[in-house]
Amino acid sequence: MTRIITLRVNGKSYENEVSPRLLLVHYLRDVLGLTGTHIACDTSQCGACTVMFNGESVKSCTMLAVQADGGEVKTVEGLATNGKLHPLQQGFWEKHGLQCGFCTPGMLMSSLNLLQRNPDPTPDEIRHALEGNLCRCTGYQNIVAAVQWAAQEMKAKPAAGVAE
Amino acid sequence: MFPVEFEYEAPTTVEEAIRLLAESGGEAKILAGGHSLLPMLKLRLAQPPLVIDIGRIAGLSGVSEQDGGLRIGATTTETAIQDSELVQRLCPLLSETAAHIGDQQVRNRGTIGGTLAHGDPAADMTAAVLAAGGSVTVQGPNGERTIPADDLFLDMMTTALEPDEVLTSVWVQTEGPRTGSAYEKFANAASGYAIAGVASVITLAADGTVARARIAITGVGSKATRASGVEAALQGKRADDQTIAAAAEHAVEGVDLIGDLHADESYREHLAKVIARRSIQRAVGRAATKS
Amino acid sequence: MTVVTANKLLGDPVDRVDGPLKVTGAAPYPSDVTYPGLVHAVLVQSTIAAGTIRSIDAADAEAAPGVLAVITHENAPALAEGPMTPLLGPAPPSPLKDNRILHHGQHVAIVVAETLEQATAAARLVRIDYEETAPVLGIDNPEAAVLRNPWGLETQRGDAAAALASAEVVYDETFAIAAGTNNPLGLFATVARWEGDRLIVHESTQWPTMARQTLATVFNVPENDVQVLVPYLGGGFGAGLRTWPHAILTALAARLVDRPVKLVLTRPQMFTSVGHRAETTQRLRLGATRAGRLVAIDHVGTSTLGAEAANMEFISIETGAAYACPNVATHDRQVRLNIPSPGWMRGPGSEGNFAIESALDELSYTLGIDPLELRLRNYAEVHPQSGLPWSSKALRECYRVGAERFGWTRRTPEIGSMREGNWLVGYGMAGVTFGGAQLPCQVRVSIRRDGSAHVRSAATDIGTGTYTVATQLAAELLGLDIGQVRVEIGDSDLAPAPPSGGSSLATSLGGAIRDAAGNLLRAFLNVLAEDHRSPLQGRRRDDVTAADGRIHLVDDPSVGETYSDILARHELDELAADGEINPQADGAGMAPSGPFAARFAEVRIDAELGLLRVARIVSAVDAGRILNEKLARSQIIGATVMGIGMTMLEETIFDPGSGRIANATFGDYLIPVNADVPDLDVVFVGEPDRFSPIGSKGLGEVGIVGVSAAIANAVYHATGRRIRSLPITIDQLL
Repeated sequence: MTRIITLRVNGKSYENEVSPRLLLVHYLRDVLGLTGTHIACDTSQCGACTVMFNGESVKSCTMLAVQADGGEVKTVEGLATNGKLHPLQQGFWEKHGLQCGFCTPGMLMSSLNLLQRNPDPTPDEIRHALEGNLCRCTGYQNIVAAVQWAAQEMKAKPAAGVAE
Repeated sequence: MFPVEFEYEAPTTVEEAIRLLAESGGEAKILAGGHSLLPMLKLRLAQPPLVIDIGRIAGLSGVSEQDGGLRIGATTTETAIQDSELVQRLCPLLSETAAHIGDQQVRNRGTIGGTLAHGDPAADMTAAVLAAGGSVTVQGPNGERTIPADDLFLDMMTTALEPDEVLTSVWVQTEGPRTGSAYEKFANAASGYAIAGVASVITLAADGTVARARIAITGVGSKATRASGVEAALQGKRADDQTIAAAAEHAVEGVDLIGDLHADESYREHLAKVIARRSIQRAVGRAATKS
Repeated sequence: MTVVTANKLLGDPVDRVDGPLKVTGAAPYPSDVTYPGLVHAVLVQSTIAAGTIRSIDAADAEAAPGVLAVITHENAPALAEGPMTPLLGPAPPSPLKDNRILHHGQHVAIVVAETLEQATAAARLVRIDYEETAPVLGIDNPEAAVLRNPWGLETQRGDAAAALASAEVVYDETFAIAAGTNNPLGLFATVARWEGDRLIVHESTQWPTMARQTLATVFNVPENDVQVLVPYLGGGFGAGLRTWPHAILTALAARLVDRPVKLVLTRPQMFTSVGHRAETTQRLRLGATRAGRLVAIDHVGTSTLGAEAANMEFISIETGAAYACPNVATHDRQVRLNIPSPGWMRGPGSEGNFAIESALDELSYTLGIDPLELRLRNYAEVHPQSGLPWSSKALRECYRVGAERFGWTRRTPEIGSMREGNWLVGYGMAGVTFGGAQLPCQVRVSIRRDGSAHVRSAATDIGTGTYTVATQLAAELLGLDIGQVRVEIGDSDLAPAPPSGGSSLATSLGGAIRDAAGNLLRAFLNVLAEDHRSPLQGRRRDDVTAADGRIHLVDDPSVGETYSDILARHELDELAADGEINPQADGAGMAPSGPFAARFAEVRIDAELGLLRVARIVSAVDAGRILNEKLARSQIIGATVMGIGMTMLEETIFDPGSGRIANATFGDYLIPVNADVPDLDVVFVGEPDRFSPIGSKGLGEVGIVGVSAAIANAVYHATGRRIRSLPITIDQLL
């Protein structure tokens, strides 16, 4: 039997009828058309599907859409504010923290979770925090640099990292 | 990957959850963080007709002091345990262990009750709760009962919970004076699950001998278990490197060793001994500096 | 004349032009494409490795909700075979030809339904009755058919056998490297749609031009009626060089159900459907003098191959070019097994490098010569096969600069002599000589009246930075700002281009852009030929150059006018010109060089746990002119980490009984994670290559080459354990 869920995604309210087995990632991609959240393994390893749920990073392939009922989701599409890139987005661009870009949305959301918990992480702390996100292109080094860059930027301009 | 179709209920009380579970004849599955259940649903290793989401039951999450220990609600996430000031102060083994689980996203969703009820033989928290002298409270149609952690894990993915029972909270002993703990792990590089993990809680007597040792091991056998041979070999002894190394040799006594792609049985045994030694050494070091 | 000067173009670290799209989730990958009425396909794959299908019962699947078609060999129309492919050999055999099963995971049916859930459910209902025969598995299997010198690429010079027989020192060892899987993060997807007899395919491919040709051949339609689109691809690493059977099946399904059809491979299917690095074994014999001069190399490489597929790959391809050795024989063997077809995976030939560079390290201990010094004693000043001068070679510089940055002189030669606490420390190094081709490439470049330039080619950007480099080059050559150039690639309707593969694209496309830019300036001058209002009237191509959006005289920059003014005055919206390169090495009087590199690695080993950690790697690379330092560095770092994966983690395991891949998930096939990555230092040396119109040499692959040997050599230095098989496993270290 289907269920009605209501939730906010990137600040917008949605109400949809969904099957309980629908995964959050498919809800975001197929129902809402937010294809910035990617699928790359389906077994909870790669982190490409990472989004923020109620302020914490989650793998949206390992969460049912019905579990998100009443909650607040932020995807990569909701990271920029009024067209202005989030410092993490700027950092990944500036520091070349991406190549093919497929892992990037998930990396960004995991990095966001990290910087919320730890605004000034060491490279080791960044590597540890991003252990749930695989990248096959960059060798990670520039991703670490990108997160460091964003952390500095957010320290210098505290308002920059606040979305909405 | 899609799970088979199932019904979904999100009760707001434990009683309602138990009623739904009973009505399903024990066929329903309890969903907390979903990080054990959802992968099984997606691989169709589990095909329950009904999934009961206990994530919306108020009061099932949180940490408080109780009876010389800590009471931790079943749906408390690993991140919450990792970050809890109370846990860090009174039972640091649990926050240290929580930090080893999976990855950041997994810890944000995964719960202590879920991991214990699931009984995965390579989980981390199982060993920590065993070493912390813990127990779980479960609730069923006939009320509440307490299961000591020592009696909880029966076999691979099998626990002492009855099909109609819901795990509601976990209790662990506070680490007292002259007590130190450590969780040491050799992890699967991809999943982060333990290939060998050892949790140690050591209390030293005033003369520096081991007054009490509780050592538990995970990842090497079909279930997490106390390493009683190691504990016995430490009891009453001065905890020097030689004694610890000798004790660690007992790490897999009584364990039904498993082997897989990532590590065969003999390598697991070898790892377990090294990891046990390093875990105990670290716990002893901490006990020695703690008044 | 607009020349590519040494100081221009060189390495501006321009930020990726595709950055904003990718950090906002707006870059459309093939799996993101949808259409009204789009339906979904799911593959059914063989559960045996060899035999035949006795019967297929698709009745339940066909009757399942939402199902539109179940296509099997019993009802599929006959498809033609794909064309012979430059570089790679014959196309993979077309799917659903007959009832024979050649490998586990072979596509035996494709199920199409309204939703993905319905297609997935129905695929489980297709019942197949197999007649199983014993599969031929295992690279050493005596029953396997062996192809010898299948591509005619073996090297023979001098008399290796005689030189080995009389050598003062002889080395003879074997090496083994496990199969590996490319595993780009983006799951390969195909979205196919027919408009009458015209086929439009959004396809995960590294080679739109070839994908178009393949689909046109297979479906017997004109090439102009096939359009392959891939503006963004979630990585490739060689997996996207072929148009694989699943893509053909998707196009077939779309034709049969007359709806747009989408197929996204699952991660396990990424192991069986899009190639993999072949498992290899090698026997390497070296003869040397006591003074450390190589006198003979005999190198036999054996790699696995699918039962009927082809794969033009030769793992000792660089052996003959790497060192100044007078007597060389290389041998290429391919062994047919019941496995999914291997294909190129980043840096084919890196396997041979592992053997050669490990062997030289062993020789260095035998002879008591520093490993770096031993390589210098055998330095190939000219191409050792042809005797021609290299078009560029700064390998000596790589050794010098790399050693300096690494601190090679701090190495104490005795095994196990460097320790830090519980850790055994070892230093190792490797030299790298690698190939890299320029391939025929075309491009169209135009300038519009608003002063903007458009660059159009059927090339792709698989993540390496093609968009950015093409933008930079066009801006530079046409005297425009980066922001005025728009690059359109990833569309097979545009000018034909080579693959984004084989370390070839940036140099090939760059050469074509250079040609097109020159032609475009010429086209502008032609427009002005009779225009006496123009100060440039009657000028020739060599008289002018471009800067700040205008063409002006080389000798007097004040004399000139803007593109916009010219176009406006002549009431033209746009002026376009084509460009191409057709590199011809014959008669060039030089040996076209690929990139060179030196790799230096420091490892630490916890002998108690069998735990190997790479502490740092220094890479000194000669890739000719570096077009964009930021992009180039990222290529080397990323490839180095993939090399760490190949060396320490990655192994595609075929079950020896069933031929099933036993570890086809990210939970079981280990690719490097953040914590596996050491301190990586990259430095570029050398100068613009003489054979390349823009001076660059490919660098997409060289970064993976030499990593394995440098690490294994460091492990030996730390432990005295010589590792000749990859990945390095715990039991080799305990």
